Amino acid sequence: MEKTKVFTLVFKTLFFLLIALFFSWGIWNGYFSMIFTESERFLLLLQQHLLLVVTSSLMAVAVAIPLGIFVTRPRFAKSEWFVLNTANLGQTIPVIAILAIVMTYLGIGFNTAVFALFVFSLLPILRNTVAGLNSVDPAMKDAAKGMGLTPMQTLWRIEMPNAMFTIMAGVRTAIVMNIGTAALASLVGGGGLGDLIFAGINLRDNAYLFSGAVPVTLLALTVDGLLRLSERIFIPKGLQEAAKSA
Amino acid sequence: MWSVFEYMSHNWSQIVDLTIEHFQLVGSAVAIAILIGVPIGIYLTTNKALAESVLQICSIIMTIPSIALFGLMIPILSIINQGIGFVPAFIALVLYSQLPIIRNTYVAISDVDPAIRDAAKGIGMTTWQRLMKVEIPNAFPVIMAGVRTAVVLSIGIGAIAAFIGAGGLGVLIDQGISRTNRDMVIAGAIGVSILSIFADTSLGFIQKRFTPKSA
Amino acid sequence: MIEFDNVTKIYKGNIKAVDQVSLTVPQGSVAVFLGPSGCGKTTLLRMVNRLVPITDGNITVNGMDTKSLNEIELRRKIGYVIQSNGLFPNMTIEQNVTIVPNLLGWDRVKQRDRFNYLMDLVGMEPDQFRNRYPHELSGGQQQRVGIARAMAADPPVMLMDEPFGALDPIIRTHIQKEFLQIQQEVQKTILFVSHDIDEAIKMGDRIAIFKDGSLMQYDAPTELLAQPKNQFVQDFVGTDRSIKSLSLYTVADLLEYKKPKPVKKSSFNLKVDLDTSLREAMAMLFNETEQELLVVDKNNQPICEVTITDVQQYLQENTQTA
Repeated sequence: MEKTKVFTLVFKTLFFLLIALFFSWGIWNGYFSMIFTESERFLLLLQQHLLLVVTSSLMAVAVAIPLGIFVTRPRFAKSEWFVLNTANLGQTIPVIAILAIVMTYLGIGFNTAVFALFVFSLLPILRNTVAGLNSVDPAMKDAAKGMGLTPMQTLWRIEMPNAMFTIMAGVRTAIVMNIGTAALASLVGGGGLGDLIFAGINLRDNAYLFSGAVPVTLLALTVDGLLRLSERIFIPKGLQEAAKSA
Repeated sequence: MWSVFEYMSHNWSQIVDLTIEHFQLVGSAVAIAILIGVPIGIYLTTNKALAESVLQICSIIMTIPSIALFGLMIPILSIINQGIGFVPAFIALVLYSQLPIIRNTYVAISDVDPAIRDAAKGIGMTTWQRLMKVEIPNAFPVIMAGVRTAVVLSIGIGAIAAFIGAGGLGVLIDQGISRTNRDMVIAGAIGVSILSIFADTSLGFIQKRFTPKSA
Repeated sequence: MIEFDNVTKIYKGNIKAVDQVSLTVPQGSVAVFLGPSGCGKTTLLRMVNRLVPITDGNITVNGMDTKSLNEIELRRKIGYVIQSNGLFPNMTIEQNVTIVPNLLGWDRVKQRDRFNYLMDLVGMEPDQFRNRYPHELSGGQQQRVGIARAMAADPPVMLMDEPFGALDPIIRTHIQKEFLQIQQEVQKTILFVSHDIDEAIKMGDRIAIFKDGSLMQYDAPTELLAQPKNQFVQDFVGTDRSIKSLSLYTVADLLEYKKPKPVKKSSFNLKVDLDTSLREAMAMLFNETEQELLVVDKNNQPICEVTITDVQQYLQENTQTA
């Protein structure tokens, strides 16, 4: 028992040492200098990056959640199979391919990048919305109906709160992947921190690479953490506790 | 649309070569990832505390955007003169594949019905026999699902690896963009998509084949 | 009062789930729908609040044809309890119980008063549970909350679909008893689905036995046990129906029928009061070495003694089987 704990501690320490080593190496060589010497450009790219992510994510949430609700209504049950299979197939297509195909139709620029990111973010949210709503205990829906809740009341008071766990996980996955993918927007002239990374690759310039790649990574990790925290607000308390005690 | 087919038929042999290259990159990376991930996943079932931190670290790695990971490996691997090309792509794919493979192996082995495990113990199987004859076969479909996720993921990320000179079908997209050759870009996109869908369906088929009928 | 008039349900593909059922449940009484799974008892229940649409026939609740009402309004007037309690995990116990009053737009104070009253009624401390969540409660507590919730808007009629089916036997017996006490106080008209003959005998003022969607017999428990109408009912109530019927009578019933024997012995190991069922009394006589039981009144004063022979005679004379 003690041995496994020691091993775990050693493992964790090694991991953090590696990260610390990596950062001190970067700082030692002045690879982060660009963030400070060209801070205006850096901030502009960061701003572009965030705009790409926020716009496309909001669009994706606004489309995917209603669509997920729509296909899980009993009246439209037939459409669910089609939509889910399309979504599953869509998720198999690599993001770079989506980006490339959208580009050939919409040309290059910010809009192309936003649209491709939107399409890419749609699928995890849609899939989780459908999965979440379908996982609501039928007995619960039966009880709600039997007590005289209208379909709308059942949806908003019972189904959505109980599906929130899964839906939020889908939104989080989509947004975090979106942050990484937005770095590819640079390829289609969409700007963002990807500009620095691709410049770094083309010029073999470590300062560009670090100044682009490290912030993108930190951004993804931070947003992931923030969204996990926000789940405490969006997910009903009773469900959080139930999940904890389970 | 027609011009894309024309492009494809003219450059058929190049596309086939790139597909093979892509396949080799993904295949070798996932193979190594399985060799590393499955034993780790099995070991973790005996050390829950470590399991938690390993899975956390894997999901942190998963959160690192692929292009950022490539970007960060260039300076690091430049130290041994392998900053671009096959090596960083290979390492990145092995890393990304760890989470689905380790997690699924860990969950699948942990979830083997305790009654079955008990029965195996009861008829006098050794730990090793139990693992090989009872636990792995029962966990196989879930482990396979992890491998399937890893392969599909790797095919997509492998396409991005073309930008750091790792070859594969991403080359068509990379060069197509810089030469503004629309047909080339679409050919690459379609090629990667087909490869991905093909891998997903065939692995799904294997997964189904090996799932015990009773389950 | 609930009246079923030639109620029929035919599902797609001509499957008759319920076949021309007619019966009346008097005001304030409990009718148990009994039968093997797939006999149509749940379908019939669910037709009352129109969770299942009626193919043919009429159901009237307190003289109103259910078809004449808007289905949402209809359901809000009918309490509904299901086996897996169906509590909403995202809501507190208070929110769960007061959901229908809330939808009906009751004011806060009235909702709170109602919650306090109902929790007291089902034997739970209102303030202790108000802000708890369903997952923190035991199965028995959850089911009590389920019952409280069904009574929230004080519906005259309640539908209960195997409400105690998921509980373990000891808790089930306990809750059944409590529920009968609650029913004495609230006097609802209740439809109760069960597949357990013992539960039906205990809970029902009347029992309806179904087979393949048809009503086999609808009678008071005593009648059902004494005179099963056909082979199916006879098989369903079981060969031990005479013993089962013992749980319908108490020691007081026995004494009414038969003059008590004066107490001869000075000390008894076994004591029963007047409310003890004959089944329990019988079980005590079988288990112990004693030949007779001492019957005591409320003040623990001895009244008389009872032997196995007394019970047997009573049974033979009162439950002559067909």
